[in-house]
Amino acid sequence: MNPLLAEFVKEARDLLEQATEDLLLLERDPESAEVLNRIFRSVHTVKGASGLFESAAPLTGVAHAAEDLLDAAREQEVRIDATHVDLLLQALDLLARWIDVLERTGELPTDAEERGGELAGSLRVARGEESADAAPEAGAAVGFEPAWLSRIGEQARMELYHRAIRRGLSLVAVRYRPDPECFYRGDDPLLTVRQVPHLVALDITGREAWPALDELDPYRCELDLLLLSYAPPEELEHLLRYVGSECVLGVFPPIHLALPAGSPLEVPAESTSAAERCLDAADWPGLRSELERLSAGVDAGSHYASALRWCALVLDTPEPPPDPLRLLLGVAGSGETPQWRALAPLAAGRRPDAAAPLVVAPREREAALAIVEAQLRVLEIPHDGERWEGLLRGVYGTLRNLLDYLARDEDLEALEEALERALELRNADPLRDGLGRLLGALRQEDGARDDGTRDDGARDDGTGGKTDAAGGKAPPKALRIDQARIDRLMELIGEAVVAKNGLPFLARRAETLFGARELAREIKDHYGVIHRIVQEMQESIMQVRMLPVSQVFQRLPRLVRDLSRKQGKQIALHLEGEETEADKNILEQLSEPMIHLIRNAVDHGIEPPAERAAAGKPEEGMIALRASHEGESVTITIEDDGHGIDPERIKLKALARGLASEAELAAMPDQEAIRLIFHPGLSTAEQVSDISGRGVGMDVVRATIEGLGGRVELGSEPGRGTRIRLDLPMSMAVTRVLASRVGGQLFGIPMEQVQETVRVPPAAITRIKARDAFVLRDHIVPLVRLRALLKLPVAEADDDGRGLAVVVMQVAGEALGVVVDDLDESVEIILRPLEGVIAGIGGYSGTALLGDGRVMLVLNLEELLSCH
Amino acid sequence: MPLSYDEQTISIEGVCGVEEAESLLEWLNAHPDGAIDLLRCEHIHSAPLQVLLAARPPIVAAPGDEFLARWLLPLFKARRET
Repeated sequence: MNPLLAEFVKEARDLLEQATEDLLLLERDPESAEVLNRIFRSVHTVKGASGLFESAAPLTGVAHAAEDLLDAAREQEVRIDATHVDLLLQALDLLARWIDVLERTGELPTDAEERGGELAGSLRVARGEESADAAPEAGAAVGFEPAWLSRIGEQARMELYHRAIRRGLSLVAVRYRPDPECFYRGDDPLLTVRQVPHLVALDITGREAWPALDELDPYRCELDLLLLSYAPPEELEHLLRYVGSECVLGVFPPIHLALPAGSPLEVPAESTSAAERCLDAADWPGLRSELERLSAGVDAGSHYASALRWCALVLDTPEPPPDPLRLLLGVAGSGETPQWRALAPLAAGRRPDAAAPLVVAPREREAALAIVEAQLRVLEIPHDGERWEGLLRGVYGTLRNLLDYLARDEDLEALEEALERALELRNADPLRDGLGRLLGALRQEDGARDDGTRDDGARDDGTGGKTDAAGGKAPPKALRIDQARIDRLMELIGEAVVAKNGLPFLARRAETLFGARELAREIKDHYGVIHRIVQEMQESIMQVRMLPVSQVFQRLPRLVRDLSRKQGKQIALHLEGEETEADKNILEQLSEPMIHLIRNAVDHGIEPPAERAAAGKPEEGMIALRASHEGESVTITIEDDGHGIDPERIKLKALARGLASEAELAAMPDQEAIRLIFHPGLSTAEQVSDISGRGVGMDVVRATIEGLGGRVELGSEPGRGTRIRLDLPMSMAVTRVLASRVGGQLFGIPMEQVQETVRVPPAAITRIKARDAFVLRDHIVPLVRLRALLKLPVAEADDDGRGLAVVVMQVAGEALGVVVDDLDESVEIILRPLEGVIAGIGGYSGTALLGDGRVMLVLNLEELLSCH
Repeated sequence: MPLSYDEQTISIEGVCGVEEAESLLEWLNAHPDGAIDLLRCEHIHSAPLQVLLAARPPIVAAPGDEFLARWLLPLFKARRET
């Protein structure tokens, strides 16, 4: 994808998310101007940025309509209510969907125009209904003031005039005074100006005199820009459409540039009378010499001298226009500005699209040839390093001016390409070839067209491509790092851990095999140092991967709002501890379970208002979401004040589904009964609303959380509410496992599941029906043999007299003894998922490489037990 | 890093973004005689540009970038003269 588009996709996505969040805030507090402004800015920025992409026009349209509605709200023409919020949310959703499509395909969906048009229409209606009389005030803008042009220096204006007259062009001027807040919206006025096609003059000043440096607010835009271009005005209007309200645009004939400037000089009124007589008689040579006579000895800095210079310039054409000359002579010395506007109809220049044939005098052509030849010789100069590039640019600059003068836009473009290629290849040949071709063309025309004219055919080109290139220079806003790079860094650190863990083995070998005790000690010392460094590296990279849980939380307010509106419930969502950080991977996987838990709370927890009122509760239900750090883990609680889980109903369901026997259920304490909702296949929903029934049950929530190395706890009081607590590790990069040997192989058991390890003499094992069990501190703990689970041959009766090695662990909330052949120490590992041909094998959560190069399989006991 | 400093000169390289405005302003405040090297500057955001326009430091190396050399440099020259 085009990097500009990629940047836009990322940015727009963030902005839309932010706007969605803010919109919900606004609904709660419609008076908050701050929130409203923030939404407006987000939408405005999306609209502005999308304007860069031709194919995203419908997107721009929808954003524009949304922006208008928000603007009307800012101006207090509209009061934002739930309908507006619905509509705006709809718009943001649509934009977000389009952004996704744009990212995948580079285009909008085919129905975008239609759908966008509809939505934009509704948005406009929503705005208009309440503000029928607030018609857009377009056209009320102040017109362009010709006197503004005097900001451009006289010399520059004269050159522009000369060129415009020769090429029969009109000029477009824009005065652009950006909104002082524009930097906050991501605007860069200079970047916009960069994209102006055929830019021929630019002046930038402050709106007022600059304040002392220490009083300057760098983020408040005080710029006042004036620019001139030969491009068709529509093109400029298009480019500036998003900052239109900050611009005043004027189209004028070149003569408007003739603004004599300088100190007033008192001259006798009759001093110009001789010149005026020449003018009346159309005696151009006479007028020319009269002008020379008048300016001799006059202060060049005076208004008078300036006016005479302009007269001379205007006179310098085959058919000088008398009226402008008269006007100029009239104001000479007075310090006044000629009223060109009064004269406009007479002196109007031609529009660019009706450009006249360009007159190239034979002498000009000769000079052009000489220039090209000279530059070709410059390219022959031996060169070195940096100076060489300067040389090339110098040659290019000279020729650009020449071609600009000759209005050879096509050649100019070819030259530009040649320069780029030359710089890229670090070789002057492309530029030399380009010059050779140009020289050939000029010589040929010289011979073929002795009438000395040349059609200026290349007018409407050479802007589109350049605009994009300039846009590509958009300055980066923040450092965004591709996740793959962080993951790679993480992997490398993981490898460093493994390599580091090899050192103790090496030390042992040095000592036992070679008897080099001293060396072994030194290796261990080094190991200590490397260990510390690697640990710090690990911690820093973890820091980078840490994200606040708000990443997950931020979608929930919207969910609650939509669900409760749909079900006619009133629910306040209370968020706390959103800044609590956890590893990105964990947060990513947390999103689905959280959505499910919140859905459950809205759907099954909070009662309809009437029911709540009848129960003596406030009509508005409450869901509280809290996150906090507890030691090395992150705790998230989801609490609602709904009707809680009814253990009796759960028991009935469990019985109906055959999940437990009647006797078992009768003996089951309530808190245990409600835990049955984690059982696969038990749904307590009386009716399947459009919210549930997506195949994600509480069992999946539990499996996901446990898969992340976390735990789920559930508490509920009938009539009072439900509370679910999730405990998650902060990061899952490094896992501690207990290494256990079975059948000569090494297996890892995640430490967080291990309660303790014990040796059980065979005699202590009792058989209950077909299952083995043993008594541990007055509790019966069922036993499973890992050999049996892994389908390895059963070992001949133990033993070396030490008893069976049993790992007592928590599986699905219950103690379970797992018999292994032997126990090793616990090790830190970097868990890698199963890949390739073994990817689909169940019962394992992954593999890990040990310090001595062996590979360990890490067990997933829940899975292993359930497939057994 | 778009800004690099030495004792009396600040070099702006590559794309100078909006976020540089503040540090640029601070430096210019602390170095009233500081100069600017724009040789390797490819674009300067309007915010830092505004700082430069307000501070009018001497430009010791003209920008290599066509646009900046053609349109911004004259602004500084004119300002210094007046």
